[in-house]
Amino acid sequence: MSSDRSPFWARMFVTHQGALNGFFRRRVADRWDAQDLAQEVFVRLLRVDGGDDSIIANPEAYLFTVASNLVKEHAVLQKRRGQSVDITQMLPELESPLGTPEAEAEREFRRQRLHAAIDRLPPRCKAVMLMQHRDGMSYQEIAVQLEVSSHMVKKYVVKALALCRRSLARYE
Amino acid sequence: MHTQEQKIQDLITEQAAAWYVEHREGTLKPVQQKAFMRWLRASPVHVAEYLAIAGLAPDIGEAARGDTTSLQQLLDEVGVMDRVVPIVGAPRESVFDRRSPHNHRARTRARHHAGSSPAAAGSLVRWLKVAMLALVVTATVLGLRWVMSRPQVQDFATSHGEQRSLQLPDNTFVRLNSDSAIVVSFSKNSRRVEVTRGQAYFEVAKDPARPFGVRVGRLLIKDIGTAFDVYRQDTATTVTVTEGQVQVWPLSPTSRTAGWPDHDRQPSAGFQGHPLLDLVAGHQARISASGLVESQGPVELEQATAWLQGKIVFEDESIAAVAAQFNRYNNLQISVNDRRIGALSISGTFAAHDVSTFVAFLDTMPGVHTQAHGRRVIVLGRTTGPHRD
Repeated sequence: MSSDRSPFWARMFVTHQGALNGFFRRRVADRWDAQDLAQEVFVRLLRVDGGDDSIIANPEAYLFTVASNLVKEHAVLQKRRGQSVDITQMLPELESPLGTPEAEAEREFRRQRLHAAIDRLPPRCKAVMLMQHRDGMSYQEIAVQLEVSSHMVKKYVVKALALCRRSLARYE
Repeated sequence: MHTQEQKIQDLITEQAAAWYVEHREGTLKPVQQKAFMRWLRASPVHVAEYLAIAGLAPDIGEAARGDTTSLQQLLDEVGVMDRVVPIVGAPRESVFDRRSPHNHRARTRARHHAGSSPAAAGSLVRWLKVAMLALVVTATVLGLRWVMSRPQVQDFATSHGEQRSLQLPDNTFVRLNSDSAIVVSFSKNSRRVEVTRGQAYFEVAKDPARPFGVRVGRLLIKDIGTAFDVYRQDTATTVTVTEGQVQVWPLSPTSRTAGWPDHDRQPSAGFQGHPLLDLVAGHQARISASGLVESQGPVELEQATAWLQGKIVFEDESIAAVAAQFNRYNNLQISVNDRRIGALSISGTFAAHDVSTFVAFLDTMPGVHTQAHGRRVIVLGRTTGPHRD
């Protein structure tokens, strides 16, 4: 894979990140929830090119594209069927990083829970997470501060992210 | 079983987080992309977890910015001094240990005042020794930066069930697995490590002026700025590269007694012609004691380096092989007395020191039961079979 593709993928990622973030921030108000979305994405991943996994050069970008398209598609279908989901509430939220006041309130609640989750992290994970996201330090800079290798820093980054996720999953 | 399910869920979350972090560091190599695709296709749970992590991650930055803990406070909580490893004796706690040395000291003191038992007093003395050694090591490490003219030779070893982290004078990070030993010999123009026993993982600090080489029996692993794992067994050596690239060279039979070839100045001198193999990140090779490459190819790194996180990960491995892995880490030994049972293949992830969960897991398997006899657990078939040993 040539590296000149990465700006394209990076843009793609930024584009879909909003939709995904919105989706998981405000779970769709009917039975079509994250499980169903994942199931549907999974089925499409299996169907791709008869199982030849080398055809998709960047599975992550593909994953995000499929997922965000499904979320939008679903919103449109719900609208057509006349069900309770209000697309005028849903789509702006999907497209814009800010969203409705309702979504903002939920987001604030989520931010507080995340804050608490970060606070409860083991010291190393917490330190790494704050240095990276709050202080904008690179792995190398964090490694020097903690006197560990940058490879270890990366391990703490992963651990911290996983612990935050688990800690929030309990609320879902 | 609820806890077992939770463990699996936790593992999936960690895998998802690891893949997510990997992606944020830049475009993955094609081999990684394929591995990621395989992981996604393995289960809808993987897909769900990855999407959930991707949905969560952007909010973390925002939440982190709301935290007012100062950098100094963070470092105090971590207790940076506990990274420095004494050169002799004193088993170290795991890198992943969550206690800070301050807590450790406080607890030790409290116990000392309360009971003043020999054990408590012993642990205080031990702690003081460790602290003093740590200071000595710090001084040594600082000193080494200036005085590098003579080769410094140091031995490091771990006992059964113990793991240790080391920071070498050049900032190379080494993790020693259970029952392992290395000899480190650094001079001003070379860095040499010999794995005399067991398994060691290296994250080599870059220093173009001083090549880094790891010797294992009649093999020399030359590092090209990288991280890799070396597992020396009686009949073969397994090398796994997690980052960068290494070259494995055969050493001539004479060099076994003559010591290291002078690979530092003239890379080809002392070697038999060509490197045995080049190994890149994500690949593993197994080389027999006689120098034959038995196998070579891509490997699931998560599984291959699970021991670094105190985990045992196995996929489709025989119960006998997994029991042998547990026995490497624990005094409580598992013996599988039924060949048919021993050959059954299982998959799973366990904490390396958590024998009881593994034994409980075996007990849930149809046709398998276990018996505890002191420091030994015997795994048996439920009905007596002709293949029973």
